[in-house]
Amino acid sequence: MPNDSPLTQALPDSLSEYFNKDPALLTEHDEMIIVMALREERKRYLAGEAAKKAKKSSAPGTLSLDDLDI
Amino acid sequence: MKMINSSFSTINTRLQTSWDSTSLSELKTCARKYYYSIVLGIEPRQRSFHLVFGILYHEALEAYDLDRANGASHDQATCAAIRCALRNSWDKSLGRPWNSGNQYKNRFTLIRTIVWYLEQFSEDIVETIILSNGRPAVELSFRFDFPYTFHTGEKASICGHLDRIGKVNGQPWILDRKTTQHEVDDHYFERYSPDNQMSTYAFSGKIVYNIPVEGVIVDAAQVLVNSSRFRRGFAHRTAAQLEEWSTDTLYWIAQADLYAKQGYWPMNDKSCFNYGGCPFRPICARSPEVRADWLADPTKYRQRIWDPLQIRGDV
Repeated sequence: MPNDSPLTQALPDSLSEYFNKDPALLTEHDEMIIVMALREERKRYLAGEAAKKAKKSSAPGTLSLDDLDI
Repeated sequence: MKMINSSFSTINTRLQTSWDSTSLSELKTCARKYYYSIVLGIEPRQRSFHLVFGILYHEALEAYDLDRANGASHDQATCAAIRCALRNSWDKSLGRPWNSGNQYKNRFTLIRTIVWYLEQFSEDIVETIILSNGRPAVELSFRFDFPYTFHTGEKASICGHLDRIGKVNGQPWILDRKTTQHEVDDHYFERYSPDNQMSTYAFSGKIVYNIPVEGVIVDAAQVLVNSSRFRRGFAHRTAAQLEEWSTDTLYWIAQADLYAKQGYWPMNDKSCFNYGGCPFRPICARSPEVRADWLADPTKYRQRIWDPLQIRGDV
């Protein structure tokens, strides 16, 4: 994606105004903002999933009765 | 006035002569359900939000595929996809968005799932095949003769619509997309083998486009409240499996011929609660003499002609 693409511009906090608007009135710029916002949301989600996975793999193993030699 | 369905016989108007995977699937589920939904052309007044979501998703990704095939960039085609979805999910008569009433499958999760799916596969390993006419193999409608002659003397045909044919590691595959709320694990993909729709696609790709496809690639999207997850599965089909499907289809079409000739479509009362429950169960649960009144109730059912020769897309 080229650095001057409109899709690299700043994103709004909420998409609700776009979703509640008649789509026939949405501009190409509006569509690009929606796409970019959702791509950012995906990045945050994937980062969150990766962090959860890393935390899980670094946690100590689960102990069982065998470990206690009972 | 009953609308004309071009996939039906002009001699026996209750005999379907051109079959797609949706019609075949209805018949295989229950002949009575097939009679109501396809022969009479009736659907519940309140369309399943699963069905609506799936259709909207499909249409949007078709718009993406077409745009890319016409030379658009990934970004441009993604905008085209969401434009399609936003417009098709807007109720023009009421001047408001489609409201599914469901926290999982709604207009927002639809748009999110489209954008996330296209990002997931933006570097797609599947390369669209170019047909012998020089056109990319996207949005392909097909129809071909099937070796069965009905009691009216008319010949059977199979028809439908393929989203895309592509290559993976040099091997050709049909591509299809699905949405679900269930986890897309190995167990999820088991439902596609055997599967009528996937076999129809694979058989058709081979017959119509002379491309010996390996099977169908299923891109499944799990739609959750706060995220969408994706997984790609492969529904292989050998030549022998497709031959078997073809033989089985002959039997099923012959059954449909018999039902239409006799004017009677029996209930399969073991299927009533499959696939989330049959929408016509309330009809079948009643005594035969009152069913016509229930079917005619506009608050419960409405006319919907399923003509596979006109309608695109078996979602």
